[in-house]
This record gives sequence, structure tokens and C-alpha cells, in this order.
Amino acid sequence: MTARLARWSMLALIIFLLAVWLPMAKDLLFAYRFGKTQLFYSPVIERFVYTELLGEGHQFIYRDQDGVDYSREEFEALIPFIYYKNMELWGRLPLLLAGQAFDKASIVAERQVMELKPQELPGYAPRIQLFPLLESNPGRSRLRFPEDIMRPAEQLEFINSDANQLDPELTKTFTQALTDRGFQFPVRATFGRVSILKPFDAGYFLLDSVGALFHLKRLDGAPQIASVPLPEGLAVRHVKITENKRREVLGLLLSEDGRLFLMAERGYALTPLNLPGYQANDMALKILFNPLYRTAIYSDQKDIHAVVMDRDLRPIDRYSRRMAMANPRLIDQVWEMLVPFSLELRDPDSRYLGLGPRFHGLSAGVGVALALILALWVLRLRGIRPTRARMDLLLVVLGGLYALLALLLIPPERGPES
Amino acid sequence: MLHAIMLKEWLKIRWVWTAALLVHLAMLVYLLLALRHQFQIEHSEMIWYWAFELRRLLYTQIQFLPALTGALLAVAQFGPEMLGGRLRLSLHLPLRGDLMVWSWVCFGALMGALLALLDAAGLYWIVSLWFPHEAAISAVLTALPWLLGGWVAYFAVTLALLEPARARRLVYVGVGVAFLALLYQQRGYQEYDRIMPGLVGAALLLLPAVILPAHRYRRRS
Amino acid sequence: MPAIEVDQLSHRYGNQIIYQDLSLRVPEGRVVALLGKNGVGKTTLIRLLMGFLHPSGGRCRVLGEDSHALSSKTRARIGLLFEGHLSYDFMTIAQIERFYRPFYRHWRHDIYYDLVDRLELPHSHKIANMSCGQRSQVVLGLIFAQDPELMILDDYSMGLDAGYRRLFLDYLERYLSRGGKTVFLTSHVVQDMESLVDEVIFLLRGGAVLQLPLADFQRDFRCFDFAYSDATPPAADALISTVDTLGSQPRLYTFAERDALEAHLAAHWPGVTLGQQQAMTLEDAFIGLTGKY
Repeated sequence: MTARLARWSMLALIIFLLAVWLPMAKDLLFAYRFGKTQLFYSPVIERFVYTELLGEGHQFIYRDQDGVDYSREEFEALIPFIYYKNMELWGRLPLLLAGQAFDKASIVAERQVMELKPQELPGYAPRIQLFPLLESNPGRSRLRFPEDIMRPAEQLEFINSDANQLDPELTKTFTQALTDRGFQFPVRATFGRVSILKPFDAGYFLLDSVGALFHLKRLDGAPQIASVPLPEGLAVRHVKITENKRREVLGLLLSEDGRLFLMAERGYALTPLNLPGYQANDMALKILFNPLYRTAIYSDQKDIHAVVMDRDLRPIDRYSRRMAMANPRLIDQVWEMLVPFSLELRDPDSRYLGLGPRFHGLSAGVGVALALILALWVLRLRGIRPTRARMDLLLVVLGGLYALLALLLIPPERGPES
Repeated sequence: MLHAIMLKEWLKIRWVWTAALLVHLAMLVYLLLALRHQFQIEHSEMIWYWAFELRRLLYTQIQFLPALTGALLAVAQFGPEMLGGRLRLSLHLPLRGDLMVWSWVCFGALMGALLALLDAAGLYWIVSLWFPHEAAISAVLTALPWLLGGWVAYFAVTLALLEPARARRLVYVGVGVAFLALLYQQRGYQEYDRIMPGLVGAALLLLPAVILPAHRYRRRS
Repeated sequence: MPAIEVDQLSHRYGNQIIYQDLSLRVPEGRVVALLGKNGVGKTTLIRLLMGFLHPSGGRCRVLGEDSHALSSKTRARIGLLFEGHLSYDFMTIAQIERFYRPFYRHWRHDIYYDLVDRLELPHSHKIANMSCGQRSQVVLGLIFAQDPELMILDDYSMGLDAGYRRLFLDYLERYLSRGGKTVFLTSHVVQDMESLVDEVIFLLRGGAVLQLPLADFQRDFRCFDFAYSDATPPAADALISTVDTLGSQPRLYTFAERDALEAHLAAHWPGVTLGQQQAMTLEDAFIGLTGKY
């Protein structure tokens, strides 16, 4: 009995390891080098244009939404606000578009890229809840990290990093200041950008225990706190701060119900972004700013979407397409037929490792059938009647090729198992 | 009877275990000195920035220690049993073979667990000397897959040593390596938090599985 | 019920057949020696008996149980000496006694120390640091202390000096005198068997077996000188067990009496003249039966 339990434990372990490693080995052997499609809105032809890699080597295509192909140089000229340095090199500045002239300085002044990836969302990456609260008015050109770190908890604690000890003074000052502004401890979430490589520091947004949002900065050593007015019924899921020198937009705000807002620096005004099909959980979002348009581009691992808006974020046009990387590769199709499932250690949208099973669907029946035929053949070679190996065959039905390999490695022990 | 079994197992591993204890203590001292040195040459707030934001792990010196110790304990415990077929002496004792093998591995795993506990406690204490306690907890959570590596290595080597057939020994070594390789995939802290229960579950399969080679030992031809 | 029962056992290593259709019995209460030259499979047979090997065919029963499924209870009744006096040599004299003691209900602590103390070694002496003979004393002491119903001793005499072999025989006699004890042993030192053994089993090359009471063997197995002039010397056949022409005096060995042998030689080997019957020690007879090589 225990010998049987031992064998089945070993079989289960081997199947588990094969289901993790074989798909990874497949990906290593047949590396996937097609990145995501790059989609833009061309202010020149007022159409969406894209570039993607179609095959081995450098088989790039440069195409617009109507299927017209361009050379690389033509393509770059279609999105001159992106390739303004090339435009300058090629002597094509200033640009004349929509009756306006744009020189280098005016392009640079209007350019901004905002990004929001699933990995940045709370719960998608482990994060020790300790944040340096930078001095927002450093009085010098560069920001620097303070010698204390903020611990948003039952109070807003500060821990001195040299002594590794709580700074009671600072803790009291900041906690009191927050309480005075109506902040309800404990802190539920903290949003900010921990870096000194940014043009200025915008501090942190703190979500209190009742869902109210506050903006906290350290200004000349003292707390500067503002309450962020939120529309009725808006529950904050995430705030992405983008400290951009244009100082027009402070960041993005994602609500629990999936709505996305641009947050203006002035008065924290929230402008809803109408992005059809946008799913924060599994889509990477980019918003490109240029002197004429705002383009939101968002994609999961299959489809890419874009919405072009005017400077006031009113939608003008939108476009979606299936990316070349979503086209099933032969190896993947064969693979999905060969094995019934895989355990995926890495999730491209999360820093957490996973072991989530991905089932390959009905096509895997082919592999299971193949594994079953091979199993019967092996039984025949070894002179074992299939009826005596029913459980083993059942395992092959459930585990396909993985189970067959495991059974080949750990064949049944002969004789009665005591 | 159990006492007698423990006596024999302890006699086999006492020197290796004591040496491992010293090595673990030495590695913890080294970790302590390395961290101290780090804080002497760098500003504390920068190191905290690396640790929390850039997710740099400042205690990777000990990551392979549990696995090495597990493998060594298994060799110390089961090497002597396999020399000259001494396993037969044990299998002739009037006690069920599976219970005996389980009591052996439970003893070995327990002695390994003591070292793992020392590692975890040492890591917590050392990290908390220079970091807030969140970081110390995070360090222990990050080190959990490494500690599990000790268990996996111990059982894989035990399986390979008890196994009578050479080809099957390779299978067990392969299983051990494949499992161990799963435990060192981290690129930052606490990335295993969500799969540790699953990995522990898979690693627990090794406990019943360890009966297999002893069973096969009796049945080889 | 026999203590050991082997029925139509066959075993092979790869293509090499060790035995085929081997059958033998060790009756309860007897001392039976398994004799045979190196490589005929004595140790393999003991491994099969104790269930450490799986036979290719046939079966073995020990104390009434299938040998590859011996219960703990039955194992407790069997004292087993492994070839080469296998032991836990990382233990000391005292530790190994402490280790084995709790496993056996009738443990004879006194017998162990009585035997082992003759080594005049401290109890903290490690087995690994002992000579081969000293180690075997410890291991035999453990088996005597176990007070088993059945002793299976694989080459007990290996590494023992003459004095200790005598001591062992004394102990074995005392053990047997308590009654109901069975001993199945193999040994290289055939001369010790004379005073010890009730029956012998000769394991011959190719798996043939000859089992008979020792007294019968000593009485019926004979050695004759012979001479052959220009004729070919006789060869082993149904009547002649072995022929030895390597020595200065050619000899042949047989279970037949003189008259029958002379008639057989006259009929088949006319050039051969039979000489004197020679007295033999047990060792001579063993070599006579199994051949020198």
C-alpha cells in the first residue's frame, strides 16, 4: 500500500515538474522574438499607422490602417512628433501641420508619455510598505532621498534610516497634520513614484480607511496636505503619479470599477478617459502627448487598441487590430495539441510567480490519444495486459504526454505491492 | 525502538550536522559583517532605496546553503547505509520497512529543519538590525523557497542513495534538480509568496515517495 | 514444518544461470551446512532466503513465510549474519548493543558482553577501528544475544582465528542445547563442521544439489588411489564423482563400494587398476566431491 502511495506521489511530482519545465523548455527552444505591435496616430495623414515584426530577421512592416505600406523613412515622417530628432536631421523642421508650424522647441515642450502597466497595480507586485518622502523643495537642482522612511500604517510613522529607529517627532507632526485635515487612519494605500531621477517631486497620494484620497508632500520639512475631491461613488484603486516637467497632468487615477481618469495638477481635476475595451488588469497603457493630439494605446498579449483625442481629451478616432504576435505559431499549435495543459511560472503582467494551470482545450485530445497509443504499445512490449494497468492508463488520459513520460520514468513495480 | 533508531541516525550525522551548524553560523556572521560593511560604505537611505524599490536582495549569500546542507545530511545519513549493502541490516530488523525509512527521514528532515530555523531566525535578526521589521519579515519570506530547497535536496539525495538501480538514481537526481531550479527564480523580494503553498505541497510528495527505493531494494533481482 | 524450504528455485544474473530448479529443506532443530566452492551462489541463496533478492522463479519459505514478504515478527525470530560480518561500524561496542536491544524481546545482554568482553576492548571502542576478527566477535555476539529460533550464518568463520572459532562453536553448542534451534550456515572452514553439523548440502556448479546427513557422507564417500598405464584416465560419470590426476598419486572419489567400482572400471576403463582406499578428513572429502578448482 505504502509502496503504491510512494509511486503515485513520485508520478504526481514528476508530472508537476514536467508541466512547469517542458513549456519553459519549449519557449527557450523556440524563442518568441516578435514584440508587440507599435501603433501610432499619424498627424500627417490623420490615420493610424503601425509597425510590427512579421518573421525572422528584420521583416518589419510599416503600414497604415488602410493597408498602405511605407518605407521606414516614410513611416517615421508620418509620425514626426515621435521622430522629431530625425526630422531635424533630415532638415524637415519646422513641421507644417493643420495650418500650424512646429519647431523643435514647441514639439519638445508638448511631448509627454504616460504609462500604466498591470505590474504597477497594487497586488500585482510584492511591495514592502515603506516609502521615502522626498523634500519637494530641495533648494537645489537634484532631488535627494531623506534619511528617514515613511511607514503608512496606524499613523504616519517615520523611521530614521541611520539609527533604524522611529522618529517620534516627525511621526507626530505628520500624523497630526493628516488627522487635522480629516484623514482617517489607518492608511489603506500609498501611491507615489520612488525616484530621485524626476524633474520634481509630487509626494504621495494616500488613501484613508474610508476611501478618501489625500495628497501629501514634504515641503521645507513640513507636511503639506491636500484633500483630493473625488466624484461621488468613485472608489480609488490606483493612482499613478507622473512627475512630468510640463506640469499639466499629475497622473492617472484608476477606479475600482475600472474607469480611468487623467488627474490635472491644478485642483486635481479628473477627466475621464473613454477607452473602449480597456482592462487595467491585463493591458499595458500608454498615452502619448504631442502638440496636436493625445493618443491612448493599450494592448494585452493579443490585441492592440488606440484612441486618438484632441488636446481636450475629446475622442476623434479609434482603431483596433490583432497583433502579429497573436497569430498562432505552428510550434505553439503543435504544442497545445501535444500536452493537455501547462503550469505557467511567470505571468507577464505580474511580479509574483505563479503556477496557474493553462488548459489547452480540445485540441490536446490529439496528444492524449497519441500518449495513450504509446502507453498501450509500451505495455505490450513489456507484456502487461492493459486491464492490469488501468490506473496508469487513466493517468495518461488526464496528464497526456507528461503522464506518459512520468510512467516511463517510474514504471509499475512488478509483483504484489505490499 | 524509536529511541534506538534516533540513536543510530544521530551517530551517523552528528559530525556533519555539527559542521553544518558551524557553517550556518559562520555564514550568518558573514552576512552580518557584509551588511554592516555595506552600511559603512553607503548611505543608509540609499541602501533602503535599493532594498525596497529596486528590490535588490542583500542576503543572497545564504541562498544555496540550505540545499547544500540538505544534500550533505542525506549523504551522511544514507551513505553509510549503502556501503556494502548495510541497508539489509536495517531491513532485517523486526520493524516495518516503510515505518523505518520514514522515521529515518523524519529525523534527518527535523535536524535539517533546526538549521533552517536557525537560518530564518538569524536572517530576521540580522536584517532587523539595519532595516525596519517589514524588511526582516520580507527577507524571511523571500528566503522560504531557499529553505524549502533544503528539504528538496535532502529528499532527492536520499532517494538517489537508497535506490538500487543506477538508471533510476538519475531519475531522482533529475527530479531534485528540476525542483531545486524552480526555487531560485526570484528577481526581487517575496515573488514566491503566492506559490509557496503549492510548492510546499509538491515538496511534501517527496515524503511518501521516499519509500519507493527501499521497497525496490527488497524487490530487485 | 521445515525451517527453510526452497522449491524449484531458479535465479540468474543477466544471462548467467546461477540455479535452476533448486530444491532443499532445512528441518527444524538441525544444524545444516551449505557447502560449495566460491561462486556457486551460496551468498545469493542466503540473499534470496532473506528476501533481499527477487528470484527469477520458484519460491523460498522461511519459518513458514514467503521469504520476500517476511513479517517483522518472523524477522525477529531469525538471527542473520551477513557475509563479511556486515555491521554498523560507525558505532561503538556499547552503542551497537543499545541499538539492537529494543528490537528483540528476548535480548540476552549478558551473552553479548560475555562474548565481547573477551576482546578486552573498552566499550567505547568503535567497530570501524577493529580487526576483521574482532568485528566478527561483536556481530556474532549480537546474534547470540538476539536468541533467535533460526540462525542463518553466511560464512561465519571469515577472519576468525582458530581459538575464537572454537569459542564460537562452544557458544553455538550451548545455544543449540536449549532445544528447538535451527542453524543454517555456510563456511570455508570445512573441518569445523565435523563436530557441529547434522546435515550437509553441497551446492555444485550449475545448481546441482546434494543433501545428506554428515555421518552418511563421511561413511559413504570414498577415495581410492589408482594407476593407469597407457590408457586414458577415468572421467567423472554416474558412479565416479571426481577424478584427481593433478597430484603425484592419481585418485578418484566415489560413493560406490570397492566391488562395484572395480566392476565399473573393468567395464569402462580397462587400463585402470584400483589401488588402496585412503582415509579422508572432512576437508579432503569436500575437495574430493567438489574438485580442487
